Formats: sequence, structure tokens, C-alpha cells
Amino acid sequence: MGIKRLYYEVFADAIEAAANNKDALYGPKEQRFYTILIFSTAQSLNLLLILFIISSFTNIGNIFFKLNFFPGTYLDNALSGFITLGLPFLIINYLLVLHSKTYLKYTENRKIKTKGWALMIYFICSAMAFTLYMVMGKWVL
Amino acid sequence: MGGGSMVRNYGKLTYQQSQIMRYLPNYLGAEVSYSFGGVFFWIPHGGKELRRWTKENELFIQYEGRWSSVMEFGSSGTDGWSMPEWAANATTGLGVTTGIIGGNYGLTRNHAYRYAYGGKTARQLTALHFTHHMKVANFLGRVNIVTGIIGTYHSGSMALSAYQEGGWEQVNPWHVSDAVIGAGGVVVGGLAMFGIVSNPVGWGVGFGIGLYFGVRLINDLSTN
Repeated sequence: MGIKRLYYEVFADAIEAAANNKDALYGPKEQRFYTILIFSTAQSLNLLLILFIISSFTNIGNIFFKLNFFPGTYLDNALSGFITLGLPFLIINYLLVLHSKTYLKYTENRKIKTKGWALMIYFICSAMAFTLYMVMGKWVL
Repeated sequence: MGGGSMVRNYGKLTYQQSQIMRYLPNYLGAEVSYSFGGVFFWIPHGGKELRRWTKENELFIQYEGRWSSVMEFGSSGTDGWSMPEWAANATTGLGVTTGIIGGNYGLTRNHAYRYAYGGKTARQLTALHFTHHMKVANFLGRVNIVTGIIGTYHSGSMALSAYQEGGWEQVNPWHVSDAVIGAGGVVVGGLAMFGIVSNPVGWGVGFGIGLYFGVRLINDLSTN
């Protein structure tokens, strides 16, 4: 299975699983948005991990915007991180998957039929790799 | 730290003090003095210590017997926002109260059903119970995804910036904790959205994660 097919099949699987969830009380548009948001966040975590590893060899400088929209600093930093790390992936995924509706080609006759687990396993692995690297770097090494 | 200044300790500072530290000229060093309760500045290689005091947005130093203003900052209205102490206490109290009420939500809901039982058949009650549970689960799912993503991006960006400034020593443990809990929140929300896992244990975990980020946010508003 090629990487392109894998990419679209994970989306097709997740979107169909969310649509088939009879207990869900929110609509398909919102489900698709959350699906793409989770996938983009997993990609951002991969990027963050790569940036951490690169930073251990060379100084890449501060890549984040300095914003001051909200009271305090927490939401400003989160928004800055989202714009720098998450938004590019969100736009790319939206254009590739939802806007072009390419995932519909892979809904039928796909090999990945995991009821959403494929996306969640990808996210869990990405998050675990990133957090383990932080925990190891901070307290173990 | 911006400006390349020597900063020995970056402990609890007011917003103005942290801004002073951030924009400190290269030739000045600084450290937090807990005995004086403020920031202490000195020239690292000049050999003469500077006396200092800060007033609102200005930093004054005494060098060779003369007081002078080092720099002036913008008003706090444009450069930052700090919550008055009474408001910070009020919001913290509100957050804790909301958490306690929310934590007892399941108990009160069961009481309500118990009281309502006399007027409804078992089948109606089950359907009502089920619908209500699903509403709670979906609401918590949304909250978890959003708060988890906010926490993950916040912690990731802050940890990376801190790591580039001074290695792992500069990384705040709270950011590591935010990353772990934020990612957990997204996982719980995602599992509920796909209908993979949806049970009271997951809702409890989700509620705890939402509460954690609520308290973190309130704490940030109170201190910054």
C-alpha cells in the first residue's frame, strides 16, 4: 500500500466511523472537522519532535509568533503554537481531503477497516513519542 | 532570554519585571533576589554593582551615584493585561466551585432520576437516561478535543522555545504535564467521537482533563 493510499484510507476510515456512530449527537461536518483536527495535531506532534531533535544539534531560533490577544499568556502561546505548527497541516489536509473530496474514492474497497482506530493509533503513537522524548529529556537523561 | 542578558534566576516575577528582563540591554545582568523581593541588576564584567528599583513600567538604576531611567515601556494597557487581585481570587474561587459542582453532577443527576422514577415507566426512564448520558458524553468529547489541543500546542511551543534558550533545565515541568494530559484529552475525545469507547469511566477522565485545563487557564490569568 502506497503512502498516498494509506493517508486517504485512514481519513476515509475515521470519517466513516464517526458518521456511523449512532450515539453521536453532532453533525457530519463537525465530525469531519474534528477528524482533520486530530490528524493535523498528530502531524504537528511529529514536527515538534523533529524540531526538538534538530534543536539538540543546532540552534534554529524562535519560530513562534509573539501574540497578545487574550488575557494572560496561556491562550496566546497556544494560539501562536497552533498558527505555527497546526494551521499549515490543517489547511493542507483540508484541501487534500475534504475540499477535493478525494477520500470518497477510498471509502469503498479500502483495506483499512478499523472503525477509527487507525487514526487514534497514529495519534496515540505520535503523542507518546513526543511526550516520552520530553519526559526522558527532562528527568531521565 | 531576549537581548542576550545574563539571567541567573527567572523565578516569580511581575509582568513588568519579566518585560524588563526580556528587553534588558546586553551589558546588564540580572537575578531575582528573594531576600529583597525583586529583581537585582548588575554589570557582569564591570565590577561595580548597580542599585536598582522599578516603578510601574520604568526601570531606574543608580550607577556612580546617579539615578537614571534605563528604559521606558509601553503602558500596561497595550503591552499586557493583568487581573486585579480581587478578580483573580474571584475567578479562582469560581473555577474551584464549578469543579466541585461538576464533580457532584453525577450524584445529583442520579438523585433527580430517583425522584422522577415515580412518574415514569422503567422504559421511558431508560431512554431518557441513555439520551442524557450521550449528551454528556458528546459535550465532554468536544471539550476534551478542544482543551486537549489547546494544551498540547501551548506546551509544545513553550517547551521548544525554552529548550532552545537553555536546554532541558529551562523546560518547565508544567509544560511536560500539559503535553501528556492534553494528548490524553484528545485521545478520550476522539474515542468518544468514533464511538469506540463511551462509558462513565471515560467521561470521568474527560471531565478531569477539562477541569485540569480550566484550572491551568485560571491560574495563568491570575499570575500573568
